[in-house]
Amino acid sequence: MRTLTYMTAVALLSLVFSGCAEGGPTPSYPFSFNAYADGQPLQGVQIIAAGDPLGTTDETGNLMVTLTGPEGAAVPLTVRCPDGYRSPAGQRPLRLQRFTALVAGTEENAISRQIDCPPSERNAAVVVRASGFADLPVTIRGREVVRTDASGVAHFSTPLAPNGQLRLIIDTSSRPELRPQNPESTIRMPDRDEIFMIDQVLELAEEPRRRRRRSRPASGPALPTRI
Amino acid sequence: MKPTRIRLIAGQSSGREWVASDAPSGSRVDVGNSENASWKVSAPGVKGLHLQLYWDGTRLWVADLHNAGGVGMGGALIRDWTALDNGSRITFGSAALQVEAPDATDIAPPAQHAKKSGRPSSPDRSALRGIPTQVAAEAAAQPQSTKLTSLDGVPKGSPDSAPTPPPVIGAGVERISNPNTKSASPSAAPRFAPPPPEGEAGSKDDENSKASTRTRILGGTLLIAAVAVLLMPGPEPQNTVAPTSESTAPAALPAPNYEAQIRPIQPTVPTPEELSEGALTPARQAADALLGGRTWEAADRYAGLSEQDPANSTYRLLSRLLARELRLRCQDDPDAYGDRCAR
Repeated sequence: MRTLTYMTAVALLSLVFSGCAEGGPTPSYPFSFNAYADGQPLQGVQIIAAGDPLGTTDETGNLMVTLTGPEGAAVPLTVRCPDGYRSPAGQRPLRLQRFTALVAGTEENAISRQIDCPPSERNAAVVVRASGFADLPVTIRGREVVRTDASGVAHFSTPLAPNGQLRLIIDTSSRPELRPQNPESTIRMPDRDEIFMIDQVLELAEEPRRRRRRSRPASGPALPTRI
Repeated sequence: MKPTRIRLIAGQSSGREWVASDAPSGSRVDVGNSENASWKVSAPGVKGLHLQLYWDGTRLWVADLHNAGGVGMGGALIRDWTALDNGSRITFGSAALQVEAPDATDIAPPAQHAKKSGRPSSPDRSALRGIPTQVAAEAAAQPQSTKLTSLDGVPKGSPDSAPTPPPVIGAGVERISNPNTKSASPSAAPRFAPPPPEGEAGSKDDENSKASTRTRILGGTLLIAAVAVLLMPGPEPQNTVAPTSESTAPAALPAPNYEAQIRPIQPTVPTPEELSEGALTPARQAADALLGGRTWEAADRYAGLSEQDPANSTYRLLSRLLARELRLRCQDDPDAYGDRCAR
C-alpha cells in the first residue's frame, strides 16, 4: 500500500515535472493600463478582457493585471470610461507574449497600454466685444446668457459636445439705432476646450436722407391775362 | 519741413531707419527680434515684440509692449506712452534707437490730434512707407500674401522653403484714416468771371462778354444741378429698414449670418488717445488684450480676474486655456518669448 502510494506520488510528480518539461509552468503576462482624459490621469476606467472585468483604474489612472493563457493568444479588450467621458471603440486585443527588453536592465515587467477617455463635452469660453455698447443681451436659443458690461464686453462659458454648434445673437432690440440689428455668430466646437472671440462691430445708423421732391401742380396757376 | 525719423544706432537690422513723417498718421511699428515684428532688430536682450512706435502725424511716441524687457529713455524705464523729441534715445536690450525730429517744436499737442485722428483702424498693408527704409524696399519686391495669424498674431503657414523669410509687411502697422488730410482743391470749384463794371456796359464787346458770362453762369448752374442730382441718394436698399415712429418697435431685419471668426490679430497697445478715453472695466481690458493678440497680457489679466472672482468659471476657464496656449508656445519656441517661458 505504501509502495502504491509512493508510486502514485512519484507518478504524479513525474507527471507534473513532465508537464513542466513539455510546456513549463503556465506563463503569466502582466499588463499595465493607464487611462487619461486630455492628458490627465483618469480614475474609474473599467477594463474588460474577453468579457471578464479585470478591474478599474485607480486615482493615478493605473490598473495592473496579470493574464494567463497560451503564448501568442489574442484577448479581446473592452474599455468602459466613467460617465462624462467617451469610451474608446475598437480597442486592439491584448496579445499574450513574453516581453523582452532590447536594452538590458531596462526590462519592465508589464506591457503598458494607454487608454484615452476624452470628455463627452467640451467647454467653450466666449468673449464678446460689442463696440463699447453696454447692456446688450447675448442670447442662445432665445435665452439670455449674459449682457455686455459697462465697457461693452461680455464673457460666458458653456459646455458643448465636440463638433456641436452654437448660435449666438447679440440682442440689439433695445437699441434700434444700432446696425446691424441682432447680429448672429455661430461657433463650432472642436474636440478640445476652446476660446471663441466675437468682435462685433456695431454702428449707429445714420439719419435717413430723404429725397426732396418739389411737388408741382399738374397745371400751373391761372395767370392773369392781359386783355 | 525736415522729416522726422528714427534711426537704429545699436543692434542689427536690415532697416536702419524709419522715416515716420513719410508714414500715414496713426502708423504703428512694432520693434523686436521676432519675425512678426514690423521692424526686426536683433541684439542681445531684445524681445520678440519689444516696443511699439506710433506716429500721430506730428509726433513720434513709444510704448513698451507689455514690459517685454524694458524700454529705457533718459536713464529711466518708460511706463506709458512717451512722446519722443528730437534727439530722444530709446534703449531696449542692447539695441538703441535715436529720434531725429528737427521740427519737433512745431508739433501740435497730442490731445488735439486725438480728436482728429480717432481710433486706429484695421491694419493697412498699403502703408509701406511705414516700414523702415530697406525693409520697405524688400517689401516692394516681395509679393504680399495674406497671412493667417494665430492667437498672438504669429503668422501661420508661412513658407519654410524661402531661405530668407520676407519681412512682415505692415504687421502692427495701422493707419488712422484722417479725413482732414483730404483738403478740397480750390481749383476744383467752378469759377465765374466777375461781372463787368456798370459804367462799361453798352459796347458790343461788353454785350458779348455779358452773354458769355450768362452762358457760363447758366452752364455752371446746370453743372451744379447735375452734380446735385447725381449725389442725391437713391432708393433705400431692401435689407435696411427706415426708422419707424418712436412708438413702434423696429421691424425685424433679416438676420445676417455672421460666422464666428477668430480675427486676424495685430499686436498693439493702446494709443495715447485711447488711454485718455477713461477707465475701462477690467473685463474689457482683458478682452482687449485677448482680441488684440496680447496673449501674455490677457493671461495675466484673466488670472487676476479669476482670483478676484473665484466663483466665475468663465474667467477660470479662460485663464486655464490661455495658460495652456502659452505652454504650447513655449514648448514650440522657448527662445521667442524670453524669460516669460521660464515663469
